[in-house]
Amino acid sequence: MASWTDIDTNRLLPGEPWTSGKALALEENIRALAEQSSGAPRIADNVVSGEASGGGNLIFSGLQEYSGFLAWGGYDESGGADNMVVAYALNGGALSSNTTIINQAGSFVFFLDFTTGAWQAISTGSNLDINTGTIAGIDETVTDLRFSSTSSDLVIMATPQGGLSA
Amino acid sequence: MKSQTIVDVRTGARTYTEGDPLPMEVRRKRMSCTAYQMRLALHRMGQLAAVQNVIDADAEASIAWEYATVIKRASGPIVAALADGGFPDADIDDMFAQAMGIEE
Repeated sequence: MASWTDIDTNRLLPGEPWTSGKALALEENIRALAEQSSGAPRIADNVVSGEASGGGNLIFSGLQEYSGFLAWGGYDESGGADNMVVAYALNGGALSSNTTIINQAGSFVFFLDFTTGAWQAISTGSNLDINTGTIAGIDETVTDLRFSSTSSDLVIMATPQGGLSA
Repeated sequence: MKSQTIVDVRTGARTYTEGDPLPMEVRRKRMSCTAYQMRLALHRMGQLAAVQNVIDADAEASIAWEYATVIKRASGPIVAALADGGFPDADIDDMFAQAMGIEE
């Protein structure tokens, strides 16, 4: 595991020598950050949540800084048999492409990679299901994701994130 | 138009927009109450005796009335007996609405 080195910013001012020691510390700090070594800054995460009732839409907006979306949630089919569908908008445009991701009431986990459109979902209700697919036309300019059903109550907690690395 | 909740992932702020009411067919699927709630609601509405008479005339409804813990608006012999017994849909809707408003 790489070690984190606190670097005195006064040693990085104009006129200060660029030494191999500083370069090695910076190089190792990158790895220490990734490995969350002792002393390294914690990597901030984003967590948001929302709910919709009676088949209402739940839209997560402001996703332009992200490349992936990991969500936990559930819906109840209180209004009858129901599916969960997701639509997306690029660059703040119109929402399109309703894709069914889950077809049973209960809890679910969902991940969508904006770069490839690949998605996967697991759900626990009457059955234990894994659903996967690809949403055509999606790319890294995604700004909005809309989750909806016909008549169910829905709740989601999500962490927008960096997506799958190339 | 559906109701809509927008969550801004940059701030976490939520914006809610009211939608059109759900169709009655969907709302009925969401209606259910306990046997206690239904009986107390009917008592307060002055309908308990009338409903009891209808239920007593139907064998399956009688079993459900005695043993069911949850009564659903959208299905089951109790609601079927009420409809057959001449209670209009609107009256049955009102029974469930009143019952669901009673704390369990």
